[in-house]
Amino acid sequence: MRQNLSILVENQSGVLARVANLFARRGFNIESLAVGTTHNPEISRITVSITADEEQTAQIVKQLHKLPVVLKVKRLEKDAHFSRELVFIKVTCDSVTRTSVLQIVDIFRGHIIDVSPSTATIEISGSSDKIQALTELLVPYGILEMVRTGLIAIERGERVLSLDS
Amino acid sequence: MNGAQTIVSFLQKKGVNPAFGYPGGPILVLYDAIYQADFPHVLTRHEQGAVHAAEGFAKVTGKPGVVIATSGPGATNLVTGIADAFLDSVPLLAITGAVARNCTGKDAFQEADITGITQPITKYNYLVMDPADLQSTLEEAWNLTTEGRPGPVLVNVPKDILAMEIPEKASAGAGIMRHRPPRKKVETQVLSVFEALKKSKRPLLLAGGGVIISDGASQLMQRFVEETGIPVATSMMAKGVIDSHHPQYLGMVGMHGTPQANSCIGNCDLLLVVGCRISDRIIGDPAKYNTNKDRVVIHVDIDPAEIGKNIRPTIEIEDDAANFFSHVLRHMPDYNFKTAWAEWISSLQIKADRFHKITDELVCLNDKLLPEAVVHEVSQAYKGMNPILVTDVGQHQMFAAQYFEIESPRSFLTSGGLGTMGFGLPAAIGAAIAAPDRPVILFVGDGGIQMTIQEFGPLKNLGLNVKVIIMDNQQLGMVRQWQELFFGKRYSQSILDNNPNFIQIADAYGLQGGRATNAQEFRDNLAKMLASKEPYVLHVMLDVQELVYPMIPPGKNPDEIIMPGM
Repeated sequence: MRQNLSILVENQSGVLARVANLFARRGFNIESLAVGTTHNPEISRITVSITADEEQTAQIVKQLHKLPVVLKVKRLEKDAHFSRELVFIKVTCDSVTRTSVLQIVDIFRGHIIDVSPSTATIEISGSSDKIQALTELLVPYGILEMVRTGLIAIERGERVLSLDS
Repeated sequence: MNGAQTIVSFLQKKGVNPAFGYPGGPILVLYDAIYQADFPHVLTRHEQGAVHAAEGFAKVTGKPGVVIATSGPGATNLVTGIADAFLDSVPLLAITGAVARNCTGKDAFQEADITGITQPITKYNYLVMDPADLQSTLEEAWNLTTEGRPGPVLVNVPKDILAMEIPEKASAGAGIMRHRPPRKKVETQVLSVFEALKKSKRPLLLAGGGVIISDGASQLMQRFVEETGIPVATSMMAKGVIDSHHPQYLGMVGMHGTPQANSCIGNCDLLLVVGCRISDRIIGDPAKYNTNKDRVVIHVDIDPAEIGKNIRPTIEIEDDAANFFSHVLRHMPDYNFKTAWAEWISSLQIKADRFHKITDELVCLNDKLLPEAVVHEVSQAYKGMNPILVTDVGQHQMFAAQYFEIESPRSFLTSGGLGTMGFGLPAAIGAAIAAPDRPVILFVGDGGIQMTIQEFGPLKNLGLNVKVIIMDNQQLGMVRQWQELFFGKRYSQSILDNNPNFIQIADAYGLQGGRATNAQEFRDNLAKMLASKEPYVLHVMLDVQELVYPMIPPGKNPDEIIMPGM
C-alpha cells in the first residue's frame, strides 16, 4: 500500500540525512522524497512516499517521533489530500515531430519551456499517475533526460498541518 | 572560560563522579581542563573499556554514565559500547573531540565522522559547530540520556571550540516547541486491563528491563503480583525485579529460560508485558506467535515504538512501569483472581517442580566443576550481601542468569541486547565504583576476558572489590554449543586450547588470584575470595562438555523448549 507522510522538522543541517537513515535502517524503502522550508524559516517540511502496510506505517511514524528534530508527523489519508510532482522531460523532437509532441503536452496541461532544432524540454506537474501516462506517450519520440522533484502533498479543505494543529 | 572548561564545569554541576575515558589529540584541551580542575576521571586502558565502565556505572546508579574519548580511533573505539547502551537502554553521555572546524571534512589526521557513524545507535548526537551552542547542547544531551526511555547520546566537539573562549551569552538552544503526540490517559485504559484479566483463565505477567529502570516499579509490581496472584516471568534484563524464591515467579523466559516460564508464555491466553520489547531471544518467531488471535496481549512501554514492533498488542499502554503499576493498584477491583486462576497456577507449579528436581542435582559441586554448580556455590556464598553480578557474554552468562540469585534491581549487569564479548570486566569496574560498599562478582569466559583483559590495569590501580571468576572451558562455549547442535559438530574456530596462564597475567598486574581444577581447590579459592576486600581473579577449569539447557532451538516456539530429563 502506498503511503504519503508529511513531516515537519527543524530546519538545520543533517536533518534530512537523519530522517532518510531512519527509513533505511528500519528497512523501509523510500519511493519518493521532497523537502523544502516552510513559511516559517525554522521549519522544513518533508514529504515521503513509501510502500508499507498498516503496521509498518504505524511503526515508522513512531520511530520518526523519537527523533528530537522531528516536530510533527502526519499520515495523509487516501483521497483526503492532493499530491503533485514537478517534472522536466527533454525529448528528441525535430520539425517533423514537434507538432505531435506539442499536442500531447497540451492534453496533459504541460508546457514546452525550451526548444532546440533537435530537442524540446517539457515542464509538467501532476500526480504520479499523470506523469507516468505522459512518460509512456513520450517514449517513442526518445526521452533524453528526465528529472523530478518528488511528491509534495497537502490535505484538502480546512485541515492544516502546523505545529499547533 | 574556554570550551573545555565549560564542559568540565558542566559535568561538575551535574555531579558526575567520575567520568571514564582516554586522552588523545583533539581532546587534549579537555584533559588539560580536567587536570586543572582536579575533576574525577578513571583512565581505562582502551576506549572500549571506558565506555563499558560508564555503562556499568549507569546500570547500577541509573544516572548517566559519562565517557570521554578523542577523535578518530578514540571515538570509533566507543562504537561497540554505544551500540550496547542503545540496545540495553543505558543512559550514557559520550563526549568526543573532533578535528578543528577548519579541518572538518578534509580527512585530517585522526578525523572520523563519529556523528555520522553513531547516528543509528544513539538516541541523538551532536556536532557542535558554533561555540555559542556548546552549553545548551550539553544540557539537551544530558537530559536526553534519561528522558523517557534512557539511552546513549554523543556530543562531538571540535578542538578549536574546546580551546576558544565561549561567549557568555550562549544560545538558548532549539527555539521551537518540540511536539510529541499526546499520550492516551492511562486511567481510562486500566479498566480495560482488569476487564481482560477477569476474562482470562491463563494469564502471565512478563516483566522486562523497563521495570528495573523505572524507579520504584519493582516494589509496585510485587504488590500487584501478590494482590492478583498472577504468575510472573522476567526477561534476562529484568532479573532482580522480584525475589527469585517468590512462589509466583516462574523464572526467566527466552532461549535459555525455564520450561515453566516458556511454556507459560507459549500457552497463556493473556500476556501482560511491561517494559520489554519481546525480542527474538524471547519469541523465536513473532509471526508464528501472532497467529494466535485469541490471546490478549497488553503491552506497556515508555517507548511507544516498542508496542506493536515485534508482537501484536490488543491493548497499548504508553507509560513507564512504575506509573502503570501504581495506576492499576489504585483501581484494583474487588475480585478473586486467585480462585479463577488456581488450575493454571497448579499446572505451572507441577512443571516448575519437575524442573527444580533436575537442577537441584546439577548444582551439586563435584570434581567435574559443572558451571551450574560453580555459579550456585558463589551465589550461596554471597547470599544476603546484595552482591552485584556482572557477566560477559556466552554460556557462562546464561548459567549466571539461571543460577545466581539476584537480590535487588540494578544488580544484574549483562550485555543483553548486543551480546558484547568484552563487556564484563570494564562494566564490573564501573559497577564497583558506583557501589563501593557492595561485592561485585564478575563471571567471564576464557574468550571474553581476553577481549578486554587490559582493564586489569585500572582494577589493580583502584583496588576495587571485584571478584573476577574466569569460567574456562577452553573454548568459545556458546559458539561451540551451536556448532555441536546445529553445524554437525564442526568446531570451526571455536576451540581455545592454547589459552595463556590467566593467573600469571593477573600476577603481572599485581592482582591476587588462584586456580581451581577440582571441588576442593574451588572451595579454598572461594573462601579466600570471600575474606578479601581486594580484587581477586579465580580461574576455574570447567567441565568442557557442558551445554546450556534448557534451550529453545532458534525459530521455534517457546513451548518447544528442550530440557534433558524432562
